Amino acid sequence: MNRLIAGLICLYLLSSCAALPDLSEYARQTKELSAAVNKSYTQTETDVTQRYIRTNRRYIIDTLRNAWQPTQQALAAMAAYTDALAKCTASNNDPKALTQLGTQLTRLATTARSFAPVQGRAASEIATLATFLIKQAQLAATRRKLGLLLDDSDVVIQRMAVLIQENLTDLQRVHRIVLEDNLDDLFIKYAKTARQYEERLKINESLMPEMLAIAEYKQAKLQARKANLLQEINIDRNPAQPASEEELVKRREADILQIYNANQEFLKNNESIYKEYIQGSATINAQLVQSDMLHRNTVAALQAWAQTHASLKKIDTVGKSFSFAEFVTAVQNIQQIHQAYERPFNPSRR
Amino acid sequence: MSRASWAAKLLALTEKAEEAVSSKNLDEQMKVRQELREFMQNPEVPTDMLSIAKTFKEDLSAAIIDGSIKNIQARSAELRRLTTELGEITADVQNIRQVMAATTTRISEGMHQAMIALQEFQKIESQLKAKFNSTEDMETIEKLQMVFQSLKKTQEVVQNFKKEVIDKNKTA
Repeated sequence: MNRLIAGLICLYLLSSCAALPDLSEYARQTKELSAAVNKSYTQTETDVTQRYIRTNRRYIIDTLRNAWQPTQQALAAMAAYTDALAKCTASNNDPKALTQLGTQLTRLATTARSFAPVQGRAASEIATLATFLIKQAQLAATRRKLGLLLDDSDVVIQRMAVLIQENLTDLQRVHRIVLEDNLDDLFIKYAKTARQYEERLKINESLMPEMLAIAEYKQAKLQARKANLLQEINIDRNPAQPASEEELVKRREADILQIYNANQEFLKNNESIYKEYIQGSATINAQLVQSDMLHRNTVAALQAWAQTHASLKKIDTVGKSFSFAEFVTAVQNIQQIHQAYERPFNPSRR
Repeated sequence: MSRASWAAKLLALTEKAEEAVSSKNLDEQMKVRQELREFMQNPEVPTDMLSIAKTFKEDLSAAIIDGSIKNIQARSAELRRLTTELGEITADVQNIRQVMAATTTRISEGMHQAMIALQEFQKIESQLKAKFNSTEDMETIEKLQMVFQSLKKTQEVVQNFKKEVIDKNKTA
């Protein structure tokens, strides 16, 4: 029994006192980051598929999918790695196994009443001491081994983060091109009609004050009021064809109504096209902005992830001060952008 | 702008596009594509030229997409190698955890054995006290030997464990 205690003390000498950092949140956020990047890819693939599925450039869809596979595998490996890291440190901080040991030690100390090196101490005290020593010994061993592994893994992680960032930049370029081409298609198909729609709408709006003036002129009794209203009506006084003011107003009214009704008919016939153009353009423009924001934020999150890992290399000193708040914020930003991401405009009428 | 001027502008753009594609410079290709888009957005561009510009721009888009995918493919081999390395490191991390769990189990087993031995020792001790007068009590002596063996075994377990931990830490 003396030797058991001596052994525990020996283990204690190998140890230090700082607890290992809790990496469970780091692991969870890495998983979220991995999922967010995959989601970005899926959105790009969906838009690429919509654009090229019925064209002779269909090969682009499969080529992109195959090219992206290593990135997906790397992201999965990143998540698995941080998960293992978190479980490893958690197992040292999880008191369950140690409590079990403590119970056994209490029973042992109670049984061995003549426990030489700790004579006079209560059994529970001995158990607490022994549990502490075992824990410290395990922490020391884990810290040492993890420290060595983290040196190796950080080289891998830093390079991997750079490669994924570069891949994301290429992926975003692909997405941008597809979205812009969708926008251009919409422009070519509907922009001319949309311009005419807006021009005619503007003309009819500009005619409204004159139409109101004509309506009031027709009902006005006082000559002075009629003279005032006439100033707002564009009557055509042609000396070669003299006519009364009432007649000129009547002719102007007929002209205006002809223009107004023709425009109204055009507006009615093209309203759906105009709306599709306006809504479609707005949707695609929003997608372009969101795609760009998503890319910038994902790259920032990957950088924060790699920097956080680099800080883990100092596992001997990080202890409870280990922080990854910046990384958590970066991942949350991506998730918010994803939530705001509208489904792509369906160019079915293209 | 006359029709000839529009045609000349379009021709210049298409030549720039071809140069950019052959140079494989994606940034340059993106710039020319943007110029083509701006050309197309001008409402004064004649319809037939708009159609030509659209075809050119789509070819350029496809070339840029191909180039971007090739970039991603070029990183595949290194990314795969790093993924494999990270997988191995992950296995090592998992191994550390397993070794620690096994250590805890072994300590626990050692404690258990020590407790059984102590209980036996106490039993024999009381028996010895009771039978101290009978110096030829073989049964008691045999039991005593068993207890010593048990204690020795416990001692070995603890010694081995201690040696193992020290060795591993030295190796690490």
